Parts: sequence; C-alpha cells; structure tokens
Amino acid sequence: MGVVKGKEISLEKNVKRNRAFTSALARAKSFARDPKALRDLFHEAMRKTGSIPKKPFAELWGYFQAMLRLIRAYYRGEYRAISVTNLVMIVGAIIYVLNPWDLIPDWLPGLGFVDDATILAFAVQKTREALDDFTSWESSAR
Amino acid sequence: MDAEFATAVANAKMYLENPLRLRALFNEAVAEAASIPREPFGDTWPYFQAMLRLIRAYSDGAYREIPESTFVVIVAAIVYLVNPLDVIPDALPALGYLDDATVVSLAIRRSRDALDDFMTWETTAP
Repeated sequence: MGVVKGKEISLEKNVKRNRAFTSALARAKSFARDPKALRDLFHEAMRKTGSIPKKPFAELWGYFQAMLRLIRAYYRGEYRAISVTNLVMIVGAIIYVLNPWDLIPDWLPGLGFVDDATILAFAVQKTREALDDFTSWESSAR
Repeated sequence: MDAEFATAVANAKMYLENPLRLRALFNEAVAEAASIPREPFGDTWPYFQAMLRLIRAYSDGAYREIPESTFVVIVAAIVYLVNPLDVIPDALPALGYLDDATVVSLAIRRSRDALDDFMTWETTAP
C-alpha cells in the first residue's frame, strides 16, 4: 500500500541481496518447526523489546509487536493458521531485528547492511494479510 | 473534524464507569471488525486491533495502566465505528460520514504511546 512500484522493486532487490537477511531466513526455516527454538526467540524478544528504539519503525511498530505475539501463540500451539512461508518470513525478520549473534554465526556486519526498519517493512509487505488475520483472530478468539 | 471528535470523546466517558457496557462495546466492535474492509486501514490495522484488545483488557480489569483522558479517545473512536449516529448526530449532516479508518487514525495519533505501552505489556507480562 502506498509504495510506488519502482521503490518496491529496489526494496526487494536490496533485501534479497542482503546476506545477513538471507542467513536469518535460512535460520528461520529450521526454527519454524521447532517450538522450543521459537520460544527461545520470543524470550529473547521479551528481554530486548524495551530497549529497541521504536522511532525508526514508525507505525510498523504495531506489526512488529503482532509478529512477536504470533510467534508466542504459534509455539504455544494456540494459533497455527499460517503458512510455513509466511511464518519463516516473520521469524526471519524478528531474528534480523533482534540481532542475536549466537543465532547467526556467519553474521558479517557491514556486508550489505540494511536497517531493521527496511527489513521489517519488507516482511510486512509479504505477510500483511497473515498478520491482519492473526490480530483479528486475537480479538475474536475469546 | 477535531471538534466533532471532541463531542465523541465527551460521550465516550459514559462507558468508562461501566465494565459491562465496555465489554458489550468490545463484542460489537469485534463483529464489526470482521466485516469491514481492511485496505483503508493500511499500516494501522494492528493498532486498531490493539484498541479492541485494550478495551477488553480494561473491561475485565487485566490492564488499566492508561490515563483516563487517553482511554476515552480510544473508546470514542470505537463507539463511532460501531455506531456513528450515537456519537455525532448533530455534526453528521454537515460533516458527512467519516470513514472508519480516518477516525481510527485520528485516535491513534492521540493514543499511540499508550497503545505501544499496552502492546509491550502484552508481550512482557508473564
């Protein structure tokens, strides 16, 4: 929404060329079927969420928080109505933003750096419908 | 637009002392949310949903860490969404119908910090 097509394409290119993000996505693939890994990731997020600056994310902060709650609901088995592809994209973005060095051993800072807000914007663009479905489920579930 | 919204805020205060009424508002809003188009909301959909969860958490007493003046703004936006005629009957003819997404974004502008705090509480509360 509201993104001109040319900008969308260059965002796609920049993100896909980014080695740290592709590495985060690869990591996310192994996490997606592993509730324990997802739980650890969520706990990492819980520890860090207070210290992550909100400003760069602007209104996407709402989506960032929705991603965290989705990961929690997923590993708890409360919510699984999401495709693996979307879950991997969301988990990959969270791994990237949390920047847990131990999770991505081959992380090379400075190599095609893309800022957190750009990665998050990319992930939201890809998974918006799944995230909106999830937040709608949250309010209607109980 | 701000003047009409102020009227909505005044009317919304009635909901604050009545958890059952708040809960009923929440139920109506959830039903409404299921049927309205999401596209106009753009990036604000998660904030709109956070407003609904905040109203639920407030009504059942789980979360009340929000200044009354801010909570009233949120309630006003949701009351408008559920029943616009209840909120600004006199202003409507001149104003025309404000779409849901506009009202919600107006409320977000005034309650953003409180909604962020609420979401942080949701992810950090045990």
